[in-house]
Amino acid sequence: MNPLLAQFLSESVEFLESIASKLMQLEKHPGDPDVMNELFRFVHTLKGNSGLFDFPEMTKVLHAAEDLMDAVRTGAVEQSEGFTDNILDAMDFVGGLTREIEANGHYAETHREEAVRIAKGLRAMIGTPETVATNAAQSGGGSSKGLAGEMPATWQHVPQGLKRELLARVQEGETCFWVVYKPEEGCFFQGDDPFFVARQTPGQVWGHIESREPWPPISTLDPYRCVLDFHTLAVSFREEIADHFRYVPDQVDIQEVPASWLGATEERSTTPRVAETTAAKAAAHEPLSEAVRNTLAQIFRAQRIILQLNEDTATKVKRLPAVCAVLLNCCKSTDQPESVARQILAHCEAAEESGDPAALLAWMEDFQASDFSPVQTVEAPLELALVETVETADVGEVRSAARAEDGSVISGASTTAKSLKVDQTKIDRLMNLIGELVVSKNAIPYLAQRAENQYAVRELAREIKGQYSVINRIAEEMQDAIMQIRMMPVSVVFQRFPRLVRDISRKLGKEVSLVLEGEETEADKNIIEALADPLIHIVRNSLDHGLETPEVRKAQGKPATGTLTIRAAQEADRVVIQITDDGKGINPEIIKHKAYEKGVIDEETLDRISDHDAIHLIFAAGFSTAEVVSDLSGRGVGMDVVRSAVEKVNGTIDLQSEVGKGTRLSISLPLSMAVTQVMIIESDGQIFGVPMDHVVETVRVPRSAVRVIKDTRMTLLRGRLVPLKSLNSLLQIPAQPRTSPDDEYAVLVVRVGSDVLGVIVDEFRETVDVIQKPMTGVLSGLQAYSGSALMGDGSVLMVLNLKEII
Amino acid sequence: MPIEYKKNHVHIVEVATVEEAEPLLAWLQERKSPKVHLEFCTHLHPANLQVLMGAKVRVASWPEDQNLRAWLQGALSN
Repeated sequence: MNPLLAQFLSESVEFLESIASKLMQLEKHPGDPDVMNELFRFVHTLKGNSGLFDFPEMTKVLHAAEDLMDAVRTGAVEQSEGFTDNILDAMDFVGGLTREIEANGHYAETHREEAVRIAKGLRAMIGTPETVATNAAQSGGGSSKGLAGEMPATWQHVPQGLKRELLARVQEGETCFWVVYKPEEGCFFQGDDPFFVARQTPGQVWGHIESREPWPPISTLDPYRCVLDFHTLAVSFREEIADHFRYVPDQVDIQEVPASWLGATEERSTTPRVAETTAAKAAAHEPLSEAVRNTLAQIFRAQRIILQLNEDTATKVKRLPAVCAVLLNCCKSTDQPESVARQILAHCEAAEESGDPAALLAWMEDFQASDFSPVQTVEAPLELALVETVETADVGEVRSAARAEDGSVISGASTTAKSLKVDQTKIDRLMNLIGELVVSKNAIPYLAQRAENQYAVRELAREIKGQYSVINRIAEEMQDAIMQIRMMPVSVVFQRFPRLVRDISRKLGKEVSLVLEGEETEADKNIIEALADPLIHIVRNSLDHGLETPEVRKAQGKPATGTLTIRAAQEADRVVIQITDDGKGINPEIIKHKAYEKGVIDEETLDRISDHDAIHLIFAAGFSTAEVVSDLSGRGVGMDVVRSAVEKVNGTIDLQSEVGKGTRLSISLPLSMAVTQVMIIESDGQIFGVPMDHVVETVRVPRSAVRVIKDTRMTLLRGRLVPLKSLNSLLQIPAQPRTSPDDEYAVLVVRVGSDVLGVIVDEFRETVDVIQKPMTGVLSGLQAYSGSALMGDGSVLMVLNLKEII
Repeated sequence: MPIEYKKNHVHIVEVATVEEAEPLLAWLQERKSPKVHLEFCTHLHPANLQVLMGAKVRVASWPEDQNLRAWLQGALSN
């Protein structure tokens, strides 16, 4: 199973659990908007994720559930007991599908009708049949079995000649279907081309297009609201047609055309048909009955399992004649033409010679796919029993072989898994313990100092320091090892994007090249997981709203293919993810007015708000500019979810956009409980920490070497002008920086972004490893500090956030 | 260009995509009795088809593609 699918399955289990518990909560507190919103988001995300795979039934049910929840959320539909029941039923169905996928890699096709039924039930609760789709579903469903239904009005358009031809084919045993496809009004916005779909109907022999309503005057015609119905005549199998329309089963009606429609009288149509069928069967190639097809499929499967058994060539060759005989007998009893039997013989002979039955297997697969595919899923017992017996036999053989060869074969049989699955709480406990160890370890140097200063035992102090360095090394390594366990590369999240981008861009008819950078950047598991959902929302938004279609791009002189770049990098103690597109950018004017219309901002703000702040309004709750609700984006939850998910893990989000040029969204996330190396500095009697990643060097600058150029203090450092700032003034401490007895300033040269500058402090101290804890509560508003850390002597060290204060 | 606009005639060549529908509609709105040539058309997005049907445009030539022709003759003959 591909890792993406495995991830989806494990996530969906969690989602389904959360949905169930939220539903229960909602039942206790009906109408609680927070619970409702959360519930909606779960279903929304689950639906979005399911869209990555080819599981249309699952997506369809989830989409219907989402629509219903949206209706309840907005108050259009009242929340009743039936609501919870229906949603739970739908989620059980989805859960059943995921379990089946987990076991077999796919789910049985028999779920299709159930999916239609559930989706219909959910939509019925919304009440207003908002789309023609629902009408179609109500008026017969995706697979009406009515053989002698009313002749449709459009039937009159079918040419007489064609009717005669079809009658002949029907009498020869073929089946002809009348397929009515009523696409959704908004389907063009999802990138659908229903006409193309209708033309591609398997076995299509004739088609007709009808408008659902009289044409309005051309001046008011809306070309993008689909009002066309597609009627198709197709000679094929019902399953094949249903499979062709599997994404829109509730919008099609497939009806078998009775012979009477084709102009046959009752007697004429039935009697000769039976006679002819028998004759045709004797002749050759006649569609087999369902029961026969199922049995054949079972036999074929069994033979394939036998051929694919992991055995040595000699045994394989011995099995071949038996398989060959079974196939030939199948051939004989189903009246297959002579040529088929010859093909079987030829393949068997070839396999016997080469000892490799691959060609025979391929032929069997092809033959099965083209000439008979099982109508129902083949019941497993036979297959299982077979595999079991053969495998037991196998093991016996292997054992005897092993004995014979003095046990040398055994090693291959039992390969132990190299990786270990550990409960995350155990790792968390380790993490906390090492955190405590690091802090208490830092107390030892103080102890050494005391031994020296207070008790004047220099010898002991030196020994303590020696021991400290040993403990320090071990603790550091241990910490590193524990962090490594929790670290995951961002590629875990990134790997789903190529497929996502490909699918969405194809759906939207856009050309997008995706560039992924810094996939190897690592961050804590919690952070990576927190990143997954917001990133998907952002990428969807970029594709849906950001990038233009190739035509529009060309018209603007841009390359037809848009570029979407997702870049990850570690910056000091943060992971920064940038999502950049070269699309149309965000127009602050439109955003402002939309926000005003939606009541997100008032009139006063509308006038005052800066462009930069305006584009950030897209993160406001309930803000969405899209008029059309698609399964991509545009529910007004996306960016809101993104912001809250990022903020939950103490991340920040920033948006830059230029109209016509593109948009860049940066998410900066902490590395979690990463150990930071900080340098301790002193200013006005207080100590502060500066992350070592920022520190370039420490220098002492004579007062005479400081120049003032345009109000800014500067100094020349190895031929380079470095601006100087005093930490006291940056923190608004009313004190002058102290100088050393030699009249020198202590200057900490730091790099912030791309700038290098000197910070004048009073004194440098040592560097220490600290576990930086983010500021919480009221303190979280203090932008000047990135966090605090507990020192070995029990005091608290404030770590400066240089980016903010400079 | 899949759609070529002449004075009073429009030629749809090969595949007309969804984006063509709007300009096509605008063009038709300004003409009194426009005619459409479809002989080299192989497929057109239904948005375009809707526009042609809604405008009750006269077809000067039918597609060479017999299958498409059958579909369109039902929809555009009036």
